[in-house]
Formats: sequence, C-alpha cells, structure tokens
Amino acid sequence: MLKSIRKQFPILDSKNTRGQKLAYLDNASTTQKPKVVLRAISDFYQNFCANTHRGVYQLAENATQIFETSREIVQKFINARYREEIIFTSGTTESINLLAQAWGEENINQNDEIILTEMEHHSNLVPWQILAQKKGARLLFIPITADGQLDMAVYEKMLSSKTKLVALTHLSNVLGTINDINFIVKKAKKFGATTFVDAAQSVAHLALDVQKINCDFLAFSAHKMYGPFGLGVLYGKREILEKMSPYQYGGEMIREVNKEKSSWNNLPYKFEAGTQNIAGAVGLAMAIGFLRRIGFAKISKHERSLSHYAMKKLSKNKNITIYGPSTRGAVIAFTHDFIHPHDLSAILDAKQNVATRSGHHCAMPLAKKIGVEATCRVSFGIYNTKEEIDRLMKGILSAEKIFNK
Amino acid sequence: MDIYQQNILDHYKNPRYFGEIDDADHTKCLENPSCGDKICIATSCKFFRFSGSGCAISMATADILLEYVIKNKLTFRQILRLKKENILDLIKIDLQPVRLKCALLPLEVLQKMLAEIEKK
Ligand SMILES: Cc1ncc(COP(=O)(O)O)c(C=O)c1O
Repeated sequence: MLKSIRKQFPILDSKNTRGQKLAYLDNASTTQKPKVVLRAISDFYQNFCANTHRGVYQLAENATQIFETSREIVQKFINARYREEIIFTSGTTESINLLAQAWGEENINQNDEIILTEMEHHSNLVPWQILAQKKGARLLFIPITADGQLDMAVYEKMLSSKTKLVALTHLSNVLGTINDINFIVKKAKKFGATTFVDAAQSVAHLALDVQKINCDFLAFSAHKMYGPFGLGVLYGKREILEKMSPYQYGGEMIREVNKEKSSWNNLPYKFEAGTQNIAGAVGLAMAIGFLRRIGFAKISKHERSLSHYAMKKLSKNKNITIYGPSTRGAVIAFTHDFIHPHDLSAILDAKQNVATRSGHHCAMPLAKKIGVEATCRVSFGIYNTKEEIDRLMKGILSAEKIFNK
Repeated sequence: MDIYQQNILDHYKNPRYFGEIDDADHTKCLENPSCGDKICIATSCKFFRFSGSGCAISMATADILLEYVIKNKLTFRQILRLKKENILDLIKIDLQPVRLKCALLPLEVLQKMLAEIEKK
C-alpha cells in the first residue's frame, strides 16, 4: 500500500549528492503532488484548454463542464448541501480576505467582538485585525492551556451578544492540536455568532463534513492536500453568501453592466471575478479522488502511527522539548536545548536529506505565548515512513556532535 | 555542511564580544522577522558588544564582525562602507540566500546604529 502510494511521487526517489533519498517532512507547508494530479493538469492544458462560461464552441463547453464537475467533486468531498456554496479562490489566504472584506465589511460594527484563538496562522489573524481597526471592533483570543489545548472554559465565558464572529483553525500548524470545532460552533450559534473554520491544516488528514460541523464558512488550499498551487476554496452557507456583496469586480461576476451601474451574477460566480484557475480546479478534483481512494480511515491510521513513533523517539532525547498536546495531528514542533532550530534544520538537510522547517511558522503570537522565537517542525503526509523518522533522529545526533558543548 | 566550519562553531560556542555594556552610549536592536533572530549591539567609547539570540551563523558572524572592527580600530566611515562581500570574506563560508540574511543581520544592526549616532 505505502509502496504504491510512494510510486505516485517520483520526487521521493530523488537523491542528494550523498546518495540519500529525500525524506520530505514539511507537509504542513505544502505536500508533494502525485502523478495523477500532474497528469490531469497537463492533460487539461494539452487537450481541453479553453476559457469557461464564454464560448459556445465545443471546447469551451467542455472546459466549463470540467470546471463545474470539479466544483461538484469539492462539494461532495466536504458534504456541502449546494454546489453554489463552493467558491474557488487562490488559496486559504484569499478565502479569508474575501470573507473579511465581503462579509466583514457589512456585518461587523463598532464594539462588536470577534473571537479568534492564540494559535492562529497570520492569515486567520491579520485580515481580522485590519477589519477590527477599521470598524472599531474588538478581537478576543481563546487562550491555550499549558498542554496546547484551547481553554474551553474561558471561551464559553467570552461569548456574549456582542460576539459576531468566531474564527479558528481546525488543526494548529505548530502544536498539532485538533480543535473541537463542532463544540465551538455549537456554542457560538447559541449567541447568534457567525463561524469560520480554517481547514488548511486538516483537509488532507481528517474527513470534513460542513453540515455536521455546521459552520457558516470554511476554507482550505489545494496545495496542502496533494493538489496544485494557486487554488483554494471558500465554503459558505448559501443563504449568507446570497446576502453578501462581491469582493472583487470584473468579468464573469456580473449579470448586467451599464455605463453607470451593474448588477451581480448568481452564486458562486458573484465571487469569482475574472478568469479562474481552471487547470487548478482539475488538479484539486484529482487530488480529492486520490485521497478518497486511499480513504481517511487509512490516512489517519498511518499518520497517527508516524506521529506516535516520532513523539516517542523525540521525547527520549533529553535535550528536546516538544510543544503541544500528546494527542495531535501529524505536526510536531520542538526545540533543542543547545542547537538553534535553523542550525538543526540545516544539518538535517545536509547530513540526512531530511526536509524540515524552522521558524515561527507564520504564528508569531503563538511563538511568543509558548516562549520561543523559533521551533523546528516536522509534519507528515501519507507517503512518509518510520525509516524517515529514524533518519531524522540520526540527523539530530549528528547535529549534537557538531554543537556539543 | 560546509557552513559549520571550525571558526563559526568556535565563535558561536565561545564568543569574545557577547554581553551587555553597563551605561552604553547607544544600543540598537534588529530582528529578522522571517526566522526570529534578534541581535542588539551596544557601544561605548569605540567599544562594542552584542547580545540577542539566533542561529550559529548570525551569532558567530556578530562576534567575528565586532572582533574585526575592534582589533583593526575601524573608523565609523570604514564601518559604514563594509559590504556583504566583506562579511563573507570574514566568515569564510558560502551561504544560500536564506542563511545569508542571518550573516548580514549583525552588519545591518551596526551600520544602522552608527548612522543614527552620526545624525545626532
Ligand atoms: C492554519 C493555516 N491557515 C492558513 C494557511 C495559509 O494557507 P495559504 O498560504 O495556502 O493561503 C496556512 C498555511 O500554512 C495554515 O497552516
């Protein structure tokens, strides 16, 4: 099984000058792309390339159909009720900016409160900061406990009639914490608040059902789920999307344009101004098919066993501090007592061809909270192996030899 | 691997000019926002010390730079004329663009501080 999955990713057979295979442990940044996805994209460009919704010739009609089929595949994947609820964007970041501008502009007023958490990626923080500054609204942050979980008691006390939005990540890209979004959404609804889930980190690892979560909005990026760069999704409940004004203006999003005044197209096109990333949507649909064929039960089982194995190995090293809860997604951030994360990542790369990431991982408030400037992070995908984790551990030993005190 | 040469590790593990200066005339701190490295340089009567936290490259380079400046009694003018190439000559390693930022942070701190002193 693992062997046939790895075969889909030729990059995993590439070797460095020392003859070591790539151990790619930076999947939280972006995943590698399987051959089926790459082939579908190049096939689209070779055989079906035309702009959507515009031509009456067959090629354009085919392209439109392919694009809309991709939308339906996304709809089924997250179990959205209607196809119009799936809006294509350039990625999670654009999805959140769309939301902050199109929804936030009309729904957030002075003294309103927006609840976020202390573990947000900058892309689910900065757009809300700007909105809050503009409107005179207030940001509140659900604190994290010592073991890296959201403090639910504090959250429940934060909620009030002033709460207009609760926006949070499903899975922390640093701590690996899996947040209980069903519970959080349910509590927010009691106060009539709108809810947004940033699923960028969970979409490739956990099955998502937007009707079950019952959130109003949810976003993710294709490139973190074995799909291409430059494409993302914003899911929104139809009745809310219908009331929102467009976010960008131009072609395709309009119904009628006069010199002085225009009216807007139906959902989802109202939010898809200009030519879309059609090949990207094809790639995403293929990536979804790829994930579905493996199945989330298998994916979770494999990734959980990798996380568990890595946690066990890392915690045996007395010089290493791991951040976050013991039960977690496939993300582990840690620091070393006497090796700076950047030096560690550089040596892991040079000595073992193990790709890890070091820094604040676009979550500076979180880094401050846990009291570190930077951490070294490993994050797993469906193709990773225990042997790669053994090489991670060997690389850490090499680094310790270089930096021994 | 070549970047962790003996001279880098030596200056990183046993820095000569790391520390604070009591009643320093001037202090300047800068951070590299992409990696969180932070370097402060303090000066008093042509003497310099650096503090902060960061990777081996940024810390060792700060120490090597201050050693060079102090031992050769460089003037403000000479320090302000130092460039990337001078730093690479001093530390004697080749760096990829990302790590180059680590090596250039100390010079940036030092030059910004001197520019501010000159303005006063
Ligand atoms: C939790 C989380 N949210 C949002 C993003 C932003 O995703 P993108 O850069 O694809 O827009 C990331 C990416 O690292 C993330 O980890």
